[in-house]
Amino acid sequence: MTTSTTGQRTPPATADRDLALSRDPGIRAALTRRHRPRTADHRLVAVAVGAWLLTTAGIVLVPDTGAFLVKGQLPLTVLAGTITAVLLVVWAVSARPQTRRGLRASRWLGAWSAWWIALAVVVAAWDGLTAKSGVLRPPYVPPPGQLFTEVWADRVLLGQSVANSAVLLVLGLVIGGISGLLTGLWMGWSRRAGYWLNPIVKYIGPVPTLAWIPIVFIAFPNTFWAAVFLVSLTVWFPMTVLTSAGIRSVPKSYFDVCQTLGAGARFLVLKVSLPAALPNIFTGIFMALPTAFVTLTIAETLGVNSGLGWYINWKKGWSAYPAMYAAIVVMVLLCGSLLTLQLAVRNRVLAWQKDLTRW
Amino acid sequence: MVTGPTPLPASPGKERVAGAVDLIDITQAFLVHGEPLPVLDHVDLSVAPGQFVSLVGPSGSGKSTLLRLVTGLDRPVTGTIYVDGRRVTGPDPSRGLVFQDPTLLPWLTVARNVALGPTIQGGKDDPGWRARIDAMIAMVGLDDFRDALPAELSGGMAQRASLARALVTEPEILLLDEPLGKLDALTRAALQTELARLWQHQGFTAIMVTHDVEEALLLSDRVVVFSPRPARVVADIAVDLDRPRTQDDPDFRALRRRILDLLA
Repeated sequence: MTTSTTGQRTPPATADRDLALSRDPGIRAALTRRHRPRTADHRLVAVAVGAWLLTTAGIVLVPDTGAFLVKGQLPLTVLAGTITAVLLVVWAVSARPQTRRGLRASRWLGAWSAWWIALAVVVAAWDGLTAKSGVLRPPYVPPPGQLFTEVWADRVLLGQSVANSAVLLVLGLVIGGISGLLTGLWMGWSRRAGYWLNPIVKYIGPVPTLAWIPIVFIAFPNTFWAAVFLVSLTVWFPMTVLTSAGIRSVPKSYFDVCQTLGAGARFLVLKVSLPAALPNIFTGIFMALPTAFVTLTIAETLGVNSGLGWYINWKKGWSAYPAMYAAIVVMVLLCGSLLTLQLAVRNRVLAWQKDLTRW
Repeated sequence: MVTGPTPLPASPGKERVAGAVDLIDITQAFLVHGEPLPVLDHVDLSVAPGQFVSLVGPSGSGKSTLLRLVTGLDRPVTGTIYVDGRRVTGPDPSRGLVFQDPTLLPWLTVARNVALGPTIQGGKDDPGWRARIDAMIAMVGLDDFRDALPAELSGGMAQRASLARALVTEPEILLLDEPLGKLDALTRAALQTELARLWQHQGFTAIMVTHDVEEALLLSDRVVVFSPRPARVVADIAVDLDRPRTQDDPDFRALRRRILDLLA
């Protein structure tokens, strides 16, 4: 028996009725119909496993076309087989949703089964149209497996390119992010800083990075720091604008209450303004990431001569389309993972927000 | 629901002093579109230590402005405010403030919101403070919601938390700006009782702005009636009724009639 907020004892009947109603199979079924099932739909999982099994079998058993040399069927078989096996294992674990792991597996399958079916169809169709029938051919449309052989064959250069891009990106994000946060805080907090910085931010911020490239590559001692500067600049703008907007939109009553409790300027900035502006700051990071990718790729293509953006352009120059596609896939995976990571951090940090939109 | 006084641990390093408020010749005005808008017109008001005083008046008559002046968040154009004979120059933890909105910091749990004052004053982890924070949370009946976030609370619960936050540092003066104005009738009645209990318990001076004449009469020793803006004190009515009070009492009804007539 619990004590309610008003201090009165709740009648025991309520708890009993709660339990009875929540165990009613009719209510449960009605709610399941109304909401998307959050656990595995075993028919759908069976279709997904079957689709990947068929895809794997098709890759191995259907003979390749003789029209061109088909590369990379072995790694593709291994990948498809692994996916099939993983799905099977997760399905087996999900058979016992009473356990913690079983429930996690079941939820994961409930969320992603449909996607796995779609991916199997895409891979099967792609391989069928290229490697098996020769309808589409390299170099313009390589079979899916060839992407692996291209990555493997050029692993050293590609690895260096990814590493160089990552260093530039991380430096640009950190420098631009921190300076944007500080500028935004300062502008939001001090009227004088707002007076001097507002016009600068308004006129420098929206200029496309491309326009700075001629000046920046001359002004900086080497292309590396020029590229870092360009990426920082693109990150700095949205971070500054959104942080200062966030700071200025903090309800005044928060400051009033904290001041009556004895808070000084330091507390008001670090413990009130900053957390209250966090939703805006995360929007700033969200907007900064894609523009940072764009700037990075352009800078790499135009002057840096290393990195993933340069690699893609260089391969294009040699008409090595399969290698170019492989690099583009690597880029898609990297950018997508970074954005997903950012959103996951945001959802965790902002869990206190009412009606938080989860992306 | 009024329980007997249970001993509440005192906040460490502090002994209760007084809590006398004296407003002398207060005039306040704001610039609106470049024109001065007078809000308070030479107001004098004195509140004795431990007294519960309600301010009633037409809306927009500057009662909330008066409260803000007492907190020290704003400065009057003319006149001086004294608390225990000392001139008010800025906000101070000895003067707590409760708004119509709970204004809990939404990223902190209930317990951390209540602990805001001790946190600011750097004593959050002091065992004496910890005991006092826990007792305060228990006193407003939020024991089961210590770790809840403000977004998960009902309006009444949030306002309870906000009361606990204002009282945890044992202010000598509690300033209440329509604290129950946004609550439904049942929750409001419950919180009126609770407010009376907290006041009797802790002995702070209370100055409350309200639009509800019955609420003012249920809780206060004095009801001060203000004129429309620019506000002046129209009447200062002593409420000499036994506590706990009921709305059915003929004396209560007579006082209510008198105040409503003054406001009409």
